[in-house]
Amino acid sequence: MDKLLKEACTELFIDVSEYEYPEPFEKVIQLLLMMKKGQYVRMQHRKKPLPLLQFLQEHGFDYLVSQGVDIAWEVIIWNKKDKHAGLYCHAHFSA
Amino acid sequence: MNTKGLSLNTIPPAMIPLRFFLSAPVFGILAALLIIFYSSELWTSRWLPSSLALTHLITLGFIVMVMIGAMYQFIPVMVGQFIPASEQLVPIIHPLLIVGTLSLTTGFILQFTILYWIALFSLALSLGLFALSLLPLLVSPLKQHLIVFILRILLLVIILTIGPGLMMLLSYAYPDINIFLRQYTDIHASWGLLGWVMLLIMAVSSQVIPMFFVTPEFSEKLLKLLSLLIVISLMVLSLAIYYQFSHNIIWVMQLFLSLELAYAAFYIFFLIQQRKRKLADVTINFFRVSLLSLLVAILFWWLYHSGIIVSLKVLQGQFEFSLALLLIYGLAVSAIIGMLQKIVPFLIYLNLHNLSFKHPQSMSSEPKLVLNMKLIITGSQSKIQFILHLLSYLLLIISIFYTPLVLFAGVFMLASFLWLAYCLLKGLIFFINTKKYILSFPEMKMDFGL
Repeated sequence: MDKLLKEACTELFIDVSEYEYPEPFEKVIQLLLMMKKGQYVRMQHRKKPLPLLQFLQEHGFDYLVSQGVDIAWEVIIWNKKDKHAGLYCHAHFSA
Repeated sequence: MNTKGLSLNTIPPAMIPLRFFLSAPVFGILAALLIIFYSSELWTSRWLPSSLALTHLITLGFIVMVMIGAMYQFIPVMVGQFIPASEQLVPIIHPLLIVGTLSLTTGFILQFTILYWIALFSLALSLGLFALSLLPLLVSPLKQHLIVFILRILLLVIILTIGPGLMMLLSYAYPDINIFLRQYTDIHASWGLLGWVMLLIMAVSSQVIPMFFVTPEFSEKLLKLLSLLIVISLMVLSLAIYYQFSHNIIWVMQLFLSLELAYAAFYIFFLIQQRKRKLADVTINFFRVSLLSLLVAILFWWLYHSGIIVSLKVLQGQFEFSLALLLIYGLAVSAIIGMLQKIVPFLIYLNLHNLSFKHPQSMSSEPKLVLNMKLIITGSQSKIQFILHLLSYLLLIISIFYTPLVLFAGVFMLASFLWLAYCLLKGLIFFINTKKYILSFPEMKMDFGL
């Protein structure tokens, strides 16, 4: 497991804080369609995107959600089948 | 709110809220026809059967109808859970609200006791079932959520609005019951318009405005505090009027309430001005008109009651109608039409998008099935809607003081609601056709690689 954690995953970053609905949803879906093994998405948003989280639950993704001060909401998303990305995200982004 | 491990339900089946949104303009059309038919007679007294019918066609038929639909759409998006038993209860709540509103308004005009009984039964059951269906949410672990907080207050406000309303209806249906109609009407109207409408507008604006116009988020603490203060002020004011407290106490409470409402309006105005992406979007103007109407109503109220302009005192009837128009047509209807321009396309879009992910081959068809959300109700359609609404609003206000314009006001109001009905119906047809087409593709898991 240690070896797995040392291997860095690639981050796909997107800030949708200034997009009107439903653009944030669309932009993230585009990224998810591009996402490969060893990659995860880090998304910043002004609201907690509940419809997106439902989509992630239904389509085989896992996520971590956190609320900050400077950044209202941050969501880390990875494919459930990608164990390496899952371990990496939990190790680096779990509160 | 922690959503991990909780199965989210954020997208209600489109037809649950849509049936409320699509029925609402029909009542607006009926109200406009009533204005055209009765013309200037309507502005003679607010106690006339036709005036009472007009008020309830708009408040129950349009405002309450849309607001219940909006709750079915917004609560899932905001808290991640449907209103319990919505699939079972909505087919009862919706038709009963239609029957109740129609029997109440025709009851006012035709004065048939049986119609009052039908209205009493239908409205009590419809609104009661809706209020009861919210209860499980109000005791759920989501209780700290802003909308749940406001809903709890709203439940009290609904009881204080509907209670006197149903009591008056009972006295119409059963004339042996004697009540002070004026006192009951004032409590019913002030709780309905300043409590129910204002709180709902604050709750819905706090979601719709940041979502669709990219403004800073509303302060939850401030909204909670304002909601509480508005309800407490209304409560003290109602008691002060009922028990005939000294004039000074009533005056102070009215001042408090005015300041709270004005503060809420200025605060939302301020947030709208802070838009991060100032894209041309006519729908924001509906909210501006709504807030401005509230501010003018407050100013108008104080101007009239302060006696600064003595001659206004002789215009008691005009004053009451102007205030009602500013609050009902200006504050509530403007915000609701503006909201519909955004939430109906959003609802259709989300449902179709969600469906297309379950039938992924539909996503590669050309031309694209799920269009840009802004094409479901276009910018130019919203612009026409705004012009028609604004013209009808201005003409209605002017017609109170210059009655020959009532007919024109009615015609423009008819055009505005017809246009709204057309745009919503077009959205529904697009939804039905696209859904049918998406369903013609096989259902399968979407391939996200790996």
